[in-house]
Amino acid sequence: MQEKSLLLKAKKGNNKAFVELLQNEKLKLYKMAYIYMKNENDALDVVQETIARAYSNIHTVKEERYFATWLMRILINTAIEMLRKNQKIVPILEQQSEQIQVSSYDERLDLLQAIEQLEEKYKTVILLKYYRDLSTKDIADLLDCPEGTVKTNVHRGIQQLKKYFNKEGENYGEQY
Amino acid sequence: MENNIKEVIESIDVPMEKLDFAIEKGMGIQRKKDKKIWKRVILSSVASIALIVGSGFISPKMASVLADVPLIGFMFNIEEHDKGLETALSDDNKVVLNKTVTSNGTALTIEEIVFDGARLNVVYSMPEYKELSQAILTVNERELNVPESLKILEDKNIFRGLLEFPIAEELPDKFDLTIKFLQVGSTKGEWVFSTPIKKVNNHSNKVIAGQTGEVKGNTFVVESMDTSTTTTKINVKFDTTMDKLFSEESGVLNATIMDQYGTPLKVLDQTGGGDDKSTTYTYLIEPLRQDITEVRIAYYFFPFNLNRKDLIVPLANSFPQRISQDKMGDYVITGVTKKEHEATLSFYIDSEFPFDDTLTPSFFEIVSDSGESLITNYVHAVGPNKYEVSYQANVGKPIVHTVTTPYMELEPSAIVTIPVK
Repeated sequence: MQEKSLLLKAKKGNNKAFVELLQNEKLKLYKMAYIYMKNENDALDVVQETIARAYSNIHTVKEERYFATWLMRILINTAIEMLRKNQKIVPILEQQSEQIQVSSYDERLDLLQAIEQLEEKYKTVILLKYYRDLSTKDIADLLDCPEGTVKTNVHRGIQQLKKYFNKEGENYGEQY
Repeated sequence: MENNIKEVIESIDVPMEKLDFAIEKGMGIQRKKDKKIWKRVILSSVASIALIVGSGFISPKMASVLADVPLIGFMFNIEEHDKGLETALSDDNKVVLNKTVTSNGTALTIEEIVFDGARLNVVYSMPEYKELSQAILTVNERELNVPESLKILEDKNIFRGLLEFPIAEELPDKFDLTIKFLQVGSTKGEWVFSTPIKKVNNHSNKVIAGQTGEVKGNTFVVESMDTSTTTTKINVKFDTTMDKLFSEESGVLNATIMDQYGTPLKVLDQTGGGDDKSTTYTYLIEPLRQDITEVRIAYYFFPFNLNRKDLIVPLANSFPQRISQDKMGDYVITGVTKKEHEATLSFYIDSEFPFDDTLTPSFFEIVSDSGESLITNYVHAVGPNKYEVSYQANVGKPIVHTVTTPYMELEPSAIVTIPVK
């Protein structure tokens, strides 16, 4: 109820209410942005642009329960746009997925890096499912795609991570 | 593995200050926590554009109204324009830091810092002008909620600027100060400067306050007044929210602060902050002259939407020359004196209304026949409704450029008098 009134206030231009609405989301927004951008400065740029877009379109949010997913959608679109703009996306074909690993085995590798290396479509569903705890249906709604596609991409994302770690050693192998 | 994904993402470090800064910028504001902050924009004077940059509260619409002021290249001369600060900078407690911090390839130098109890001033430099993000100030590790303004000291081979932070609250005479910037131009990074600070010796003194008044139904009380040899600080608290004092609906509240003769005192900085119940204005004015026995504050409103019209009049060869301002009285130009390449024009306003030190919300400048500003010293009060403005002489025919003044009304209840002796 309080959040609903916050949303109403924010829609009427109350900045304080908008900031309060963001309180539960801002850390998650940053962390998602970081996964896409892989560095602090670009992640902050994505958050800033996301907030700018959200701020000017807050009137389109119909109910408070949609606020978080609405923000996520904006963030994902913003991050992908920025990556493309910066030409930081290197398309990776399916058959090359076993080679996602970073260039040298000598480098310290961990799960975070592995997630960062995922293709964007896999990265997005992995983030939404395992970090934001969204259901397959909610992810499908958010990304505007069939549930089957979501399931397939989650499965392939996990497979890529597993392949990555199979190559890398046994860091997470025992937990598969 | 699936279970570890959340854990590993949660472990990503978050730069909280920078994140909050990004959110504020995303919202198009640069506000500090809790309080609304706004700054006076000196309508007719120094580096108005720079002042607007540092003032998050003013709406883009208001800024666009106020930003039509010339003098972008106006250089602030401390000796000439702020004698109190000049005094403070000559005190032994001034900190000469001269420290350069380079972050992501961008260098920023803080040269000097001085604190006089009412304001903190920072002289900084960089190879060329780049906008600074709002400074984050911490005193003894506690973040201060303060606005800032920028004045330009030099912009030729290097850029030197003067940041001013009005300090509304009481700070100790000695403290550890940290100043942090998170963006310089388009470069994000961290520019952090730390130093111990000691208040300058300026014979500060508290004047008995508590005077009350009312303007358009809004009651106010003079909460405090501190005098010193470097700055005079006055806090006035209104028993109403800021939107009743600064908005499109209610107009903009302005004050003329003057001595017992009605001569406006120079306002160095003006800030306001508030919550759901009250709004407090802090005025920093020049040190009081020895002969001043009382300070008067007159409050009045002017419209938010000024709808000003240009008044462009060639300067006459003989004086007096009148420029009509309808109900607000004529501007009467009484003469021009020349000294080498600079001329100073004197005028008064034929009105009972007490205009402030810089003629808010109007302005008065001299332009060339091509419309270029010739101003060398902005319009400023030299007596009750008496003003001077200086400009480059011998550059063709001078033309007076001013604007229509909106009708403003002064209620007797809106004037308070503070005895200082």
